[in-house]
Amino acid sequence: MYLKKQVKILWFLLLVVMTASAQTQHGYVKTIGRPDKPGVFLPNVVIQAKGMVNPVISDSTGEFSICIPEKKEGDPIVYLRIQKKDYELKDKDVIGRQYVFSSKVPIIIQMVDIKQLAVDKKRIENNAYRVAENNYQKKLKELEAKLDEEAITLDQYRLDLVALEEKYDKYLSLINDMADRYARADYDNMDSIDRQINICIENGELDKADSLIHTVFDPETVLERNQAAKREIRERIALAQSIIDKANADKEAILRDIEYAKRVASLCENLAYEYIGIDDWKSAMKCFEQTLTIKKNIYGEESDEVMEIQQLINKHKQ
Amino acid sequence: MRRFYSALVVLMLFTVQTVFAQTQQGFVRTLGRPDKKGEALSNVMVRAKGEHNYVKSNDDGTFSMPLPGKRNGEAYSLQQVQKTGYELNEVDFVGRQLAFSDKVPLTIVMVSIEELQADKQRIEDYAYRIAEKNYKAKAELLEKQREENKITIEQYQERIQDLHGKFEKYQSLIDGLAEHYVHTDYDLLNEKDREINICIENGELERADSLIHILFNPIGVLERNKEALDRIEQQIDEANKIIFQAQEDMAAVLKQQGKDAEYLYQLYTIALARFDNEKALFYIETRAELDTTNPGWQFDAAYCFQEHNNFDQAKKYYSRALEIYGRLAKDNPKAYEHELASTLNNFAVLYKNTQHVSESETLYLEALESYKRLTKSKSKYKSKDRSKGYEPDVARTLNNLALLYFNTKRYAESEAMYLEALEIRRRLAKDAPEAYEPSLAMTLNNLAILYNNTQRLSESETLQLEALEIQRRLAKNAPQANEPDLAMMMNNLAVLYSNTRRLAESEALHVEVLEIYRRLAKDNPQAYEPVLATTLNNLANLYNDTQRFTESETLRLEALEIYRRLAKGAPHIYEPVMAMTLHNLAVLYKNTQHLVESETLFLEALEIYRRMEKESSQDLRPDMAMAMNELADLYYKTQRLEESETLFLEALDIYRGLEIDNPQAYDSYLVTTLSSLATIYYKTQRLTESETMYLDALDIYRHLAKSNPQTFEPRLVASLYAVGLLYRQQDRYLQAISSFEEVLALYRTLALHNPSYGKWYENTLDLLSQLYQTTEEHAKYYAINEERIPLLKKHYQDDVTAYQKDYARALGYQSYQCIFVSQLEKAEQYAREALLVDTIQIWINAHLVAALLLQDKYDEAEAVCRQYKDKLKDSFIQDFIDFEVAGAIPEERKVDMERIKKLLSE
Repeated sequence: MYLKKQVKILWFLLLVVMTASAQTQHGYVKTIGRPDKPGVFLPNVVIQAKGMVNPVISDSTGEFSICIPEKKEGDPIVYLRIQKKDYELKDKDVIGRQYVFSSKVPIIIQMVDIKQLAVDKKRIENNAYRVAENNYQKKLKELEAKLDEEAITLDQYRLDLVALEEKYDKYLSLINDMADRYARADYDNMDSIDRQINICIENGELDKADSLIHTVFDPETVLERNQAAKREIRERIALAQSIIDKANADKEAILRDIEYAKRVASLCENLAYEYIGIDDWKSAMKCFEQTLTIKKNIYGEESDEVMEIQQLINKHKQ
Repeated sequence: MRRFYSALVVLMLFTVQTVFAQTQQGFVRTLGRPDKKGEALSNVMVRAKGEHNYVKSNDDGTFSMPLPGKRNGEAYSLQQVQKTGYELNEVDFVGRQLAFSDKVPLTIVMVSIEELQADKQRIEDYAYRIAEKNYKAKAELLEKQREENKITIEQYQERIQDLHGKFEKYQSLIDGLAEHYVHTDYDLLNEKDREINICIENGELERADSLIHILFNPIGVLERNKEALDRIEQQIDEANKIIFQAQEDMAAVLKQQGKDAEYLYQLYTIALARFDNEKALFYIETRAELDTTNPGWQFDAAYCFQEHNNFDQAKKYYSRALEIYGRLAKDNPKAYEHELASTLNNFAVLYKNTQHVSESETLYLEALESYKRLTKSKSKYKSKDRSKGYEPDVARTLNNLALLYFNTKRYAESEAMYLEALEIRRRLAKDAPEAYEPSLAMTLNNLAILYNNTQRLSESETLQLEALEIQRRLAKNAPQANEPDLAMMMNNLAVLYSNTRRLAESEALHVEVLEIYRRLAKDNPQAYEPVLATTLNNLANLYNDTQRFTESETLRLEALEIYRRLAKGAPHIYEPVMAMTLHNLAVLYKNTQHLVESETLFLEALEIYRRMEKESSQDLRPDMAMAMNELADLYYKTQRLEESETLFLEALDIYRGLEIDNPQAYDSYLVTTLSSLATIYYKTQRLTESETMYLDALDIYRHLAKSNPQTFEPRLVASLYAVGLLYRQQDRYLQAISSFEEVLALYRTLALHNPSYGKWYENTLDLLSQLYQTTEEHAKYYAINEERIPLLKKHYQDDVTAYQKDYARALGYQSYQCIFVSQLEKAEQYAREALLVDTIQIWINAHLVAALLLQDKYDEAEAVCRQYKDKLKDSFIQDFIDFEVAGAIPEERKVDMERIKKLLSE
């Protein structure tokens, strides 16, 4: 019985290997660092992520390990509960947000002491109120001075006064949020200048903070700098990507050539059968030889495809 | 009403892997055949394994198959490829592993089943024919060899059998061969390929063979390619390294960006503290622009712009935040729904404040949906207060939406929203009274105002009382925070009581409100002086209504003083209310006859209105016209008719202008002006002008009286009365009669309900009876007096001396009239009564004689006649002539009449 042969198109696959073994996400809990008090590792924090039957608890060094069946590297992981009495999360949004499950990169969870937070917040708020009040008084005096010197009309003075009071009110309405934000700032992750800036702001020394910021940061050019850097990187990526695209296209052309060679081999093989059909064994053998040569080049000397043809030749030689 | 909204500031940390839906492009075509190239195939249904939905190929054969989460190179396979009448060229294409690519399209080749079978048949036929030819040729050769004895018969038989066997074997192969060639895709083959295949299909084997060997050397190609492949892999490697480096650099830029953002935030807070809002906005905007895909930064910028009334910019940043949060919340509702809802809410507030009602409504509804979703997504891990966490938001959004509907007068929708909000807030307040009672009270208050505006006053009252009870409790515990709202609610209830004429209750509340505001205004004049002034005005109104003008005056003076002060600071806000207060005070002085003071104040109010009208964007024309009317009325009352006329005309001009935009809204004021002018013209004998004004006024009064008869019928009838007088004066009796007839009909009903109209009713009867007399309409005259006499009788009985003469005269006239309508007994009766009432009116004896005579009471007639013969001879004679002319004397009485006449002439 002759083998029925068909033209085969092979697909080259880039397979992402996925290992199925259970992985562990490590992590640790730390309090935020404050100017006078660096952050400490926090034991006995209850942590539970989606898919966990029971929560885990951080050990004496603040460390914990999460093992979720079926979770693989790169899968999303969502934390449902992170709790410890008298503490709260630095960022409440940690709960519910998607993180990437990783057995290599530990997750760092930052918590704040609620009492400490309240004290800090109150202090920052008070400072902010004081500053606002001072500024208000200062501006008021300036306005009154202008009025006395008749630099502005009475009507203008009144308008300016209303505007000033509006600004004052608006600032007061924002103080609460701002104080909360600054009270949650983590000093452990700051360089020295940033620490100084934050301390100044917390203490209401705004002029100092402002000049410090300006020594390291230029708000006027930041956007331009940021966008130029991004643009340059994007251009680089685009260029590299175009090289890859071109290479892939070339590769595809070559693969098409190989495909074609396979088809020729297949044609040769079929022709051989045709010759056998008309009992022309000499031509048939010639075709088989041809097939063999091509297949050796495609699949290699030892491949199944080559062996198969070799066997056919041997059989018919007899 | 208090507008209740709280915008939310959201700050957050981003650690999110976004997953974008990936799409595999593809193309379906038919198999290329030697005579026919492959063609695009439409309406082929393609489905990938694990996907629920088919995609269908378009007219040009293309399709896009979304494969969420696939990365380039990842494997996928197809589950189904289908089209009626076609099959896949390669049956195992379905299920085969394919590599996903968002760049390289997938080609699917299908073949028409019908064509396939025809082709197969053709190829089989060829192959069979060739095989048979070969078989026959070989068989013939064998035959020949046997005949020539080159082979033995055994050999021959053996060979012929072998040949036959091979032939059969080949036959069995034909099917497979044909199957192969019929599936050969000629579109994929190059020219050489095609030629070879065609040769094989047609059985031209030698030619095919030589073509393969001569034209193609696959070995050389393959060797060349191996080198090229290596080079290509190297290139890809290098490019990937560049990309990796770029990504590292990008990570560094992003890290720096985070730091920059922090600096910008710090500068922003510093600038705010220095009241340098322009700079603050610049910083927060710069931060948003650093990464336009960071929704939190967009939100912060939007919020800040909104706070500083830069609505266009706020809109720009809210739109961005909304777009991003919308997308994120779709993929991960748990993490982003809250932010989405906050953005929708704030954006809705923005649109509402910029009067984009429909946009605002849409966003509020979306926010509501979003908050409701959040409420539903309770998780067992969330603590109790967090799962409840969104119900207040739902309630707040409902409340805001209700306000929006309320402001656009969609009361039914507004009510539904309030009721829903109320239900939630009641529930919340039950569990946590401290936190939620204030907002519960506010919703009760808001709904009460809605009921108030839709005239459901008792429902409104119930709610207000409930709100007030809560608020009183709250104010007791925390006066500072809750007293302002308490005062507002008490004020609302006081206004309700005042509208329902429960003045004592209203007054008590107003006094309480006033006390609170006085206290609050002492500490914070800026915030509370305006409401204090309003309350002073309200209470003054109340005193005014109860005729306590002195108290009213004191309060109004205090209010005026406050407004004068406030108007200096912000004239555009307070000058209108100040003018209104001046107006009210002026009216008070007018009513208490302090006319000089009244005039001064009116003039001041008018001056403000005239000035504001030029400068202000508000439409103060209605107020101005009202002040003009009042002052004109004052002038009229003090006989300064020329000044009065000028002002009335000016007011008229304004009202006519207002009517163009808003027909009928000012009718009630316009009509007052018209009738006042009409009166002035009448008084100054400009009758034509007066008539025109009255007719205009009448049109409006008729219209107004239909919808509000209680107020406007009396005024309609007064104008009609005046018009009637106007006609009478010009001897236009018929028009006068028709006016007065209408007046009569109205007074008749009015007098039924309100005795104070009795006098006017009678006057009208009197006037009409005079008119009928003039136009000699006896029947009508008779009827009118029949109506009038009982009324006069009643007055006469009440006050004999005042009505003696009128009543007697009326009776006398009516007795005369009775004879015309052959009511002889009545005529006698009236005449006798008249003579009893007023013995001086002896002329009535003439009618008595006539009545007696015609009743065949000659003796009595003669007796009367004889008694008054000297004094009333002419009257007797005149009566007889009148009756004779009117044909009231029957033939049989004429003899008696002649006798009397004779008697008289003696």
